[in-house]
Amino acid sequence: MNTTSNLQHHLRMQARFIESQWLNLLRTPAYTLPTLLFPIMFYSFFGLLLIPGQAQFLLCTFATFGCIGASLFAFGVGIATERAQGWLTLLRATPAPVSAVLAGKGFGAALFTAIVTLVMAMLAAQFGGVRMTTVQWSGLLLVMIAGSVPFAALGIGMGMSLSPNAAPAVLNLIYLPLGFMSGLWIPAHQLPGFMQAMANWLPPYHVAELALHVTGTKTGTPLLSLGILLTYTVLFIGFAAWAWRRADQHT
Amino acid sequence: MKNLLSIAALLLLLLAALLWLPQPEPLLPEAQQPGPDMAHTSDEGPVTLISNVRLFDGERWHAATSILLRDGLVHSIGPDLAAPAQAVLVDGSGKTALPGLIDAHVHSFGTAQEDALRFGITTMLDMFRPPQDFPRTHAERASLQASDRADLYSAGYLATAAGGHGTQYGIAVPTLAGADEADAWVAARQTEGSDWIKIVIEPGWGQQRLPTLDAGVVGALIRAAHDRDLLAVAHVSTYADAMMAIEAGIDGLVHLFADRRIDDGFIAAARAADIFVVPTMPVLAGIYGHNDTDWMLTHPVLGPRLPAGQRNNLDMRFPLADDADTAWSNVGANLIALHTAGIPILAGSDAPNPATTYGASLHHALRLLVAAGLPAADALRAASSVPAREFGLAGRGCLKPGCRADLLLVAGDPLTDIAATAMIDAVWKNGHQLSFAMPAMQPDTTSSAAVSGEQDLLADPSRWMAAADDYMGGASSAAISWSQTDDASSLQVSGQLEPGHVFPYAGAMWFASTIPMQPENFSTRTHLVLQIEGAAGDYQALLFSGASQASQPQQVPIKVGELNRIELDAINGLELNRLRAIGVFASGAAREVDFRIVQARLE
Repeated sequence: MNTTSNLQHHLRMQARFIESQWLNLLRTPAYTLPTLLFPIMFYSFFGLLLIPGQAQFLLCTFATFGCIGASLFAFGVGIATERAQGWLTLLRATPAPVSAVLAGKGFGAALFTAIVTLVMAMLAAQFGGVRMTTVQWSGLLLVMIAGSVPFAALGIGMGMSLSPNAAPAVLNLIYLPLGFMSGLWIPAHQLPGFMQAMANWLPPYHVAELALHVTGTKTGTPLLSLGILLTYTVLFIGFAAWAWRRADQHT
Repeated sequence: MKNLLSIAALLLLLLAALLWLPQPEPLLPEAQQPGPDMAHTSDEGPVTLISNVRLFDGERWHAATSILLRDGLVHSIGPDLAAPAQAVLVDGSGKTALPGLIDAHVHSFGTAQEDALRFGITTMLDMFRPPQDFPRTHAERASLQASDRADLYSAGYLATAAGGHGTQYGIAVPTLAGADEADAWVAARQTEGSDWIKIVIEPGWGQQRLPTLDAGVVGALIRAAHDRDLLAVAHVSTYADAMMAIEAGIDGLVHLFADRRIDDGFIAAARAADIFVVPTMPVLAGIYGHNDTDWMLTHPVLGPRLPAGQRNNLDMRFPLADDADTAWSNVGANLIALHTAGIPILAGSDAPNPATTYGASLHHALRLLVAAGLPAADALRAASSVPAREFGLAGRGCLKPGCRADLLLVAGDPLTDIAATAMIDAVWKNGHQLSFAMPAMQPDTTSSAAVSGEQDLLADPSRWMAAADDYMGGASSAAISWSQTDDASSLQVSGQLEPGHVFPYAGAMWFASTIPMQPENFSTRTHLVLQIEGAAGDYQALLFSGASQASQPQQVPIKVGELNRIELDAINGLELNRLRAIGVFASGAAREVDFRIVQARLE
């Protein structure tokens, strides 16, 4: 098999997995709809109703909340379930490359992120009076999609380590406090001092920081946030690779 | 293949959503349509000749002269100027023309710029606000187009320690931990568009201790500002901190301290450092118990220009400081000591702090300066040429050829009676006369109110929600519960008011639509009827309306234990055709909140 057809094979496989992920999402509305609506509902309540005048700031933090959830759960719960069903093992026996499996999941998470971010953005524009340039709106979307990469890696690691029953509970136990402590619900600068100090070390806080910068809500340079996020990304990818290899050895 | 097509369709839909998202308004407001009394001679705007007028040019007085406004600028001044064809002629007999006034200490939020201009304040020097809309404010002040907003210069974020004064307002202020951060901090402010640097030196008041910047950081900030050709001004509230700032090289103090009297040593230091001082008399009067602000509410000119939100601000009070009388007499003595020594004095209000509001409070400041012993001419200089000189604002605070055509015409002569500054007859911004519509004073229609349109707000509990400032970063909290009697239900609100937020509140919100904060048309209603039972204290109704959900709500004080019939037409700025929500809140001093809404109707 020469490299060109090998590449074609890979791309075709990835397209097939993206398609099947699409079908998966369409056919499981009980999973799809709540995952999409939960952060949007949260933003409507907190960002638009209860805290008037901060729609733009909270758009950045709640969009972060939504995109992190989308990738953590798509990868974490999805992989834990498929692993337990033996689906992943079965796949290993087929010519399907691992990259295609991940591309399918990645597509699903990115799609969720885009939908959540854009619906929130439309609500913010309609009911919160938020006005930004197209470059800033697009920047927000790109930060959300790129910012979900470390959480996708974390999700893979968790999915390979947890049983399908434990995965949703454990992920929620990480997701919700992490979101709160990173100032995604209540801006970090309004949290008590010791929590602010903690927020500075948490990755969601820095995704939100990047979003705040790209939308012009905050000024200054986001280099520190970028550096911390890259560090976390490397760590989480390492964790995912370790968990994957460990699970491989057990099967 | 079908699946790939539907994926592509969804992606296209998302792209369409992205492109639908609205853009910011254009930087400059559209030129206003000239009023019927405004002749239009060129594209540059109206030409106006005010004749037979007494005129203060920012420094000197001119008896019976005339002034020609053209192209947004003062064209010429002289006793017998010929009227160009098509010029609008204004008879200035018995009146005085003053340069558009400068308020040298505000915090500009919400409708500050519109509010200030109604009172003839055409330029405001802001001493702390977030910098996000600086591109707009900078473009506005560079323009000579018609505008209904005062121009704004600003320090942007203030320099303070983590947790220090200035961080309590729910605004993410970049703080400083050490002198080594000063240069980068100042550079960041300059990049954001700050016009000068404001440094907070505030160790706390009363029993409250606050982290504050030390002399090392203050000195480093001042040096960094001066390296970048920026002024550095300081918030200080004590003699010792003022001395520290002066020794560190400060250019100006934006409050006057009251903890002790100024002595010769201070005067010598202040003179050597060539500083200026903004005494912010209205806010100090509020803190030290000399807070008569009611005269503005009932003033024939100021009163009608004050919408409910501004009135509420004037009605708010700081907790009374310890030893207020001594402190207030120190303020007066210190002001005169500085003035006598030739230290430049700048008028400033510190609006929107309690007991102050944009615009009107600068007229209050002028009265307080004169009451403390400043000659009226110097008080007027303090609100015009002196701030323009100290802050380097060319063409402002003056009425001379080439200056901006920013001016106000007042009845009487402020040189003999400073109260005349508030007798505003007309305001021009960039040569365009501001059209100010007096809110209609309508007769009481209580007896003829239409019953057909009545709506009991308490009928639908799902429209109500508890609300308090804890969502805005404050410490107050609220919870609601319902009690049902035979024929009516009432809403019980319990909670706690705590200091922390700028405007502490705890209460309940009613939403106009089943979708919260969605606007609904209530234009047929004329009255809001509210009755609450509970402990005495401050209570407010907040009415949210307008095109944007982020619009400032209108505030109406409500009395506990009696029926409040609030006339909706009389609330300036309320847009009944786009009513979003009505909040009923306990506000003000820290206390336990426990009240019952027994009647809430729109009639």
